[in-house]
Amino acid sequence: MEYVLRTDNLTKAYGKNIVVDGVSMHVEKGAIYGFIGKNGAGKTTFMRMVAGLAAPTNGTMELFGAQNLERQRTHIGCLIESTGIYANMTAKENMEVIRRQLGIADRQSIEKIIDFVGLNGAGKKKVKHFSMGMKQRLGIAIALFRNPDFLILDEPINGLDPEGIIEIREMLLQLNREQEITILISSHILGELSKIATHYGIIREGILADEFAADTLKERCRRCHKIIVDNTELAVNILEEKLHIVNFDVPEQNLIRIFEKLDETEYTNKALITGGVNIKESSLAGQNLEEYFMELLSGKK
Amino acid sequence: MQIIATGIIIVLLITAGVLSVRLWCYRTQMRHMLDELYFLENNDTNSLLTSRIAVGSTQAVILAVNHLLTRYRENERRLLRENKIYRESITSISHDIRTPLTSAKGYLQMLQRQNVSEEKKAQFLSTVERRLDHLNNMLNQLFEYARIEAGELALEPEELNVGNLFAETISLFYNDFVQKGFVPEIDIAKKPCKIYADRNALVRIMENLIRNALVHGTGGFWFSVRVTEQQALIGVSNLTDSIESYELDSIFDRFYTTDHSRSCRTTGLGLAIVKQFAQQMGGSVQATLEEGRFTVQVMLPLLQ
Amino acid sequence: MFNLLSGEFYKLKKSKSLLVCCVITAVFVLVLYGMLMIVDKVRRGEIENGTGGIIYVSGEEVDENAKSLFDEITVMEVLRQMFCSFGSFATAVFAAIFVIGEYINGAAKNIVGKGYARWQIFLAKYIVVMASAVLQLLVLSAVTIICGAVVEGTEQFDAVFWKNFFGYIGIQILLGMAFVGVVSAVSEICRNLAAGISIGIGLVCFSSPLTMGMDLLAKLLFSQAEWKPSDFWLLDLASQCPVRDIRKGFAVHSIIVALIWVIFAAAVGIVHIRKADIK
Repeated sequence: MEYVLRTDNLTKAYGKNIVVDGVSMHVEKGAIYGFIGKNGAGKTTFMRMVAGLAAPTNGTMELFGAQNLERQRTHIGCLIESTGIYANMTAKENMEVIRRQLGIADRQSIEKIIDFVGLNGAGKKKVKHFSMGMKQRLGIAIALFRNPDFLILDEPINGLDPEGIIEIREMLLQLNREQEITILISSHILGELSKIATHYGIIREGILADEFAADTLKERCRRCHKIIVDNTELAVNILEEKLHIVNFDVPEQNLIRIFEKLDETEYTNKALITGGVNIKESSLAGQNLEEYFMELLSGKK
Repeated sequence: MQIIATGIIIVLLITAGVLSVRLWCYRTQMRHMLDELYFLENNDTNSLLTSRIAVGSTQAVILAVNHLLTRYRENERRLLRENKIYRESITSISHDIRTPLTSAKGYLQMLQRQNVSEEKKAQFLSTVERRLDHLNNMLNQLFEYARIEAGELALEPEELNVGNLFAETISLFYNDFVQKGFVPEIDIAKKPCKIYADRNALVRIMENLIRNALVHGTGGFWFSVRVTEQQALIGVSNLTDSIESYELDSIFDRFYTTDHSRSCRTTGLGLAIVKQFAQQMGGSVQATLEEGRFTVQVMLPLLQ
Repeated sequence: MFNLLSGEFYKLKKSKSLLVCCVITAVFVLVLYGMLMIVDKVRRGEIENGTGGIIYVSGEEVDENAKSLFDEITVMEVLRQMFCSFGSFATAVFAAIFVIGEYINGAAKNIVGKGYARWQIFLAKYIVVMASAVLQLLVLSAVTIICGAVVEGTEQFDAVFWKNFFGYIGIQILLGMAFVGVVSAVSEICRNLAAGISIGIGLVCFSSPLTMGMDLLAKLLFSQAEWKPSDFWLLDLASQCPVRDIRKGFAVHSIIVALIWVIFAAAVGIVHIRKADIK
């Protein structure tokens, strides 16, 4: 398992205030990792530590499996909080500054990247006249400029109109598919994130509450017939022998989740009761993503 | 005398200084480039060479190396993609072949039973024949495509009237459209429209276009032949709900299908063949999607 | 490092503030000379008020043969005035804006942590800021000389004059560079535009009284010592620098002090940038 980013107990404290508390994150190569948390949960601070803007108070991290972070950071691109730009210059001039600083030899690359993010209409406009969406695009252009292998984006769709959001989403998917760029993206717009993320990390008050793959999420949110019984073994037996139900699981004692025959719950219940099982609770469960995340974020799961 | 000597010494010292600085710059830049090249060789990465000190022609070298790197990576990715498509299509083609064969076998087994009426037997036999015909068509299409691509098909060009040929071909499929409940609009230019091409190839283009519309279209069928100064334009248009605008580039790719549910059991070669033949005739193809209306145009050079 | 310098110089080229500072400096000199010319003409009664009358200063006699004002106020005098007041002022403000601007607009985020050691980032900016200060001061000197030539004629520009001139501006520019370095280090630490500019202006205006106070204190505490604190402060040395016949000892002393401050300010800036988080 190749990890692009692996942190071990990464902590950041400002005086007595612990903003990031022992976060151990694992970002696989080729993943789009959705980093979710409420405002102020510590997402941005964590990303700044990974990007090298803030020094951790405690803990270590590995980039691309190596510890020489300075060197490895030449292969990552970041867009953290607001774009860092010179308001009095045009988009191309801003890119020229970066081009010189990073030592990129090809002058044409500026045109290419501006074209890629869709800013070639900007022309001679100074950045201070840019709309929010255009500034975000410029920020992404800056992050992508050195052909990174890992992209760290802090709320990149903040302040974009619906069209812009779709374009950025398509862009990210394309980058991930075609150039195999791993992406760590934080957002609190769950709907958007769920469309592209392959993995999720939930941060709550500085602590990484949970980390799982998107498939696992589907599992956990699946529609099911939830029953709480008094005799789990007998109930399971009845399900298998009498009802021929194979698609179920027992997440904990006395709790059974059945994933098939969801429109015949009354027959299932009847069979169980007739067989001698007492049903304490029977319901159709299953959540949509938002509910699930809200519960995670407020600590109920 | 002394002044001249001192002057010369100073000039020499300055030159020496400048040269050693330049040498140092070159060496640092070279070391940096070697460092990066070593990294690029041993890691799977997107990055390219960067410059540390822009000295002399090292910039040009960096540009050239990066150019090569980009091409190499593009090739690798294209290869991976094509292999993937190829593997997927072999899987789906074998599935397509297996299905009618299995079905035919099933019917043959039924035929071998004792208590089957003559009427039923006739029915089964004709079904088996239909399945095998279908299989035959598919395989023909596949082999034809392979041969076109390899340039093995011998073309015998002659003078052809596009309008007339198109009208003939449409009439062959007319009933199929009517059966589905549609009356296609036909708009063929009055002006004579002559090209110099192989008859079978042109017929195949037309057949594939029409069949494509028949299978995938949901209505509003419209067939046209128009003439410009230089070209004959064959157009087939229909309403559709199974194609997205980002797919327009790929529909002419071989094996490309939009029906991943495989409900229509197409090989994905129809339009690819159209494109191949059109290009071999010196023409081109174009597809557009506007508000649910899908149009394919084949442009062929007129016989002057 | 070279890449960083290249980037910084490009920023300088594209930034209007450098141009504005140079232009303002030039304008200041022109205005000063303009004023002096008018005063001179008034003293000699050479200005008419449009109806035939002559403008004069009340209480003073109009003396047609009075000495030209510019005999006392030579080009070097004007130069000294400009250097000691406006020169350090303009360069300090520009330095503060250039350094702090990076942090305000967030552009520092683009380059920190991208493969360059933090000290290189600061040093590149430091060097470029000092280069811009040199440029501004050279513009100042050039404009002054040109105005002087226009107003007083070019006979005064003999070999002695040039020797004094280059010696003077050499030392002033060195001290000016070092001062700008100090302002850059302070700007790097405070990273707030208002604070940076105020401190820069404060240093220019109030450092002299401060050092005078320290001199008195030193005299009280160490009456035996031969040196005093104001010998080591850049702006004091700049104002003490004579316009002609600069002693070798003074020159060497000034150069050493300037170098020490340059290195010290650089060290302070480097230490700070290595530790601090980038917002």
